[in-house]
Amino acid sequence: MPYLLNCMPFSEKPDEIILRNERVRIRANQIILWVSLSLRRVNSANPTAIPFPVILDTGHNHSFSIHERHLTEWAGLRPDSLISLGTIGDRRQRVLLRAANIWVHPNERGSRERLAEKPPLLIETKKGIAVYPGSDFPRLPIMGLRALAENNLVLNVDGPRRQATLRTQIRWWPFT
Amino acid sequence: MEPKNTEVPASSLDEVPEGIRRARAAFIRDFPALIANRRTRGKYVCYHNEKCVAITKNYRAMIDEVNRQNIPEDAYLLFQVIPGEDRDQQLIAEEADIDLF
Repeated sequence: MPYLLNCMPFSEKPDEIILRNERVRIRANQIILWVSLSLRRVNSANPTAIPFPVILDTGHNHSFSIHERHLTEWAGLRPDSLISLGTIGDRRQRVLLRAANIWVHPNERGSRERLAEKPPLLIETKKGIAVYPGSDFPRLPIMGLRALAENNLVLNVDGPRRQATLRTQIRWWPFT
Repeated sequence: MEPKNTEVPASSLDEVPEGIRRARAAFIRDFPALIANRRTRGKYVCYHNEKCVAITKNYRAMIDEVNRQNIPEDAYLLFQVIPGEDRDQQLIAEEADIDLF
């Protein structure tokens, strides 16, 4: 059964990750995933892409949100290389929905920063990813509940062990 | 399959291209028939401008089909025919305010 998060630990204390010489602050009780992005008509993950951390936030009701600087510097994609699929209003600003595919790189079981030697898994984002202007909000890219629901994923949060597991349904066809 | 037609026209860098607006409007128009039809309910459909040009069982097969037909990047949308999808697309079409957080 494919795992996107395999006993991913989350800490009760704030912490940091180093990504391309940038110190990335992870707050207490935040679950992260490692992802890369591609153009929407690319059917496999870019083997040279460097995965970056995103927060798994079940209170976020879109699939994926990111600001322009992270899209450019972390995902390696210019915003204008992704076609605009629509706009929505959020926090009194217009937010573009841009076409992209999301690839989740599974972690090594029990490790937050080591990745498993397994192929990345595609997350469908037919409505696009929300790209916020500038470099302030969201503080880190966010994957929301819509991505989990629309991709038939199963999330388990083990509070006592402070671990999260995210997996596909058994025999779920997009990952065959 | 390698993508062919990935160029984003300069005129549509930040604006929603007309072909995509038309594809969304056509999907909303056709949605009652698509959801009622056992052949399309639950499936993935691709609209190129006003026309449904492909139906597949899964998303990756649809990407392959879009590449095979070499549909221009600024003129198609992919949808899954599931309950509520018309409402979501209508909100996007209206550029509605949606609290994401």
